[in-house]
Amino acid sequence: MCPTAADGSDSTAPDRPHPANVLVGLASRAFTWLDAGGDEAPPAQVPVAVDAALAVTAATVEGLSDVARLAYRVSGPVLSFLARPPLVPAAYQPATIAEDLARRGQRYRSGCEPSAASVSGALVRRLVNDVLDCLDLTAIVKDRVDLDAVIASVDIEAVVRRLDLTRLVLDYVDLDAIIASVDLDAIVASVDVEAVVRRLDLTGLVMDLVDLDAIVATVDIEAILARADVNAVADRVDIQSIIDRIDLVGIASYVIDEIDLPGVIRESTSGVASEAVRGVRMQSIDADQAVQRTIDRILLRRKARTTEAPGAEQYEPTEADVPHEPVGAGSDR
Amino acid sequence: MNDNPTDTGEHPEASHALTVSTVPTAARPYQGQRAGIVTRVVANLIDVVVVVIVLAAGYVGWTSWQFLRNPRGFSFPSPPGLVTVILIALWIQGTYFALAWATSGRTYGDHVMGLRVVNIKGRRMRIWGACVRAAACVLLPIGLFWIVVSRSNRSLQDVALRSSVIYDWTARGAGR
Repeated sequence: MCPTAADGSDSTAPDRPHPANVLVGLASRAFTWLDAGGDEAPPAQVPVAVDAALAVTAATVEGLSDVARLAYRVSGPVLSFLARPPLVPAAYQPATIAEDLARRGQRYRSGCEPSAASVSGALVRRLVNDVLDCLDLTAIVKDRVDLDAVIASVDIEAVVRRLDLTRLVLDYVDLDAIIASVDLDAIVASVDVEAVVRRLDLTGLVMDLVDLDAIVATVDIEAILARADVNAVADRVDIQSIIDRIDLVGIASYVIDEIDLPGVIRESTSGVASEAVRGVRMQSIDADQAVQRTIDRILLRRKARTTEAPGAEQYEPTEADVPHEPVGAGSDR
Repeated sequence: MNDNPTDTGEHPEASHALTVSTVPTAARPYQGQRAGIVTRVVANLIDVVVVVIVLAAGYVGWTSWQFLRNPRGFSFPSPPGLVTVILIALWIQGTYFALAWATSGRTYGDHVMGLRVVNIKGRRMRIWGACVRAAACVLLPIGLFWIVVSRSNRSLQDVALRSSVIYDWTARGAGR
């Protein structure tokens, strides 16, 4: 159908159709379309006179082109000589002038192309719109496109990965209606609940999710204890076995060693004779304090006496031992 | 012995022995402080009584010895003169003080009243220091009353010998 360069009688570029062939082909197609008047009608016949005129014209054109080519070959060296005549400065040679003119023309052409492009784009859009209005694209796609092959070439998995299916389902699916239509009783009846429970770490779940303190706080321990038979529980405890496991002698020896019990006994028997002696000692200490305060007041002393003797830190009392202020030791009286 | 009798873990205080004081709580703050005039006077009075008892015992012993030597011609020996008695009493008291302070750090009067004599280091006095202090106390007992006006509860003997008389109700003293 489509004439190619190979079909033409003469062609300077074998890969590109000759413009004349293209013009003739387009004219033939246009005639066929215009004359047909519809897609369903059979193609019309071109009149014989037209084809004959076309043959004459083609022969004439071919002859003229042959003559022109011959003339070009013959006049080529002459034209080359005339274009670059010797003894003429290069700037004034016809070829140089022609090249300058060509460059100017090229620049002018380049400057005009954007406006032409905008106009051609608008024309193409209008043309395409008109064409699309005329066409039933759906029918064309159905007839001409192998949809199965197209779908087979699509990577559905990649498409799904790019979609937010959860969002889509929440937005477009009426889950309540779906759930309302499901027979949950039948589903639950078919579930092996025991197997599910066996697979769960219920202890871990309770430890993690349940506020046991809050639950225990609501329990009335007193009431439970009131109901419990503590004596019965105690009767069931084998206290003797517990005692047998404890090294009571070792504990007693340890305590005696730690508190230096022999030393305590020596101190308590030889250090302090009796309650009466203690009373006398304490009363004499109080009397000492009273005398000191009185004398210091008489002597108008502001600073308290310094009664701490060398080595007194060895008697340093602990905080629990201090019932009231010690003697002197920097305290003002 | 096993220091860890229970197998439940180490005792946190096992590294050092606990000390339990036998001194009453009310008296603990005064331990190691220099004693006041009242306590020391009472202690000295007790010691004077001790000396008197020793003197009397000496007289009784001497009398008994005379009786055993000559029961038939026995008659109670006439007591020596007052000066002699006082000199003997002072000698007994000085010796008694020196031995007591150099050995236990306390006379019987100190023991009853819970006192102890210590040197400048807070320890028991050496024998020569105790002898000098005993002589000073016997020869100049009035020096004890310097305590009344002393800012540090020291007698004149304490000031001169840098000794101290402290409250110490423990049996052996913290300074040993």
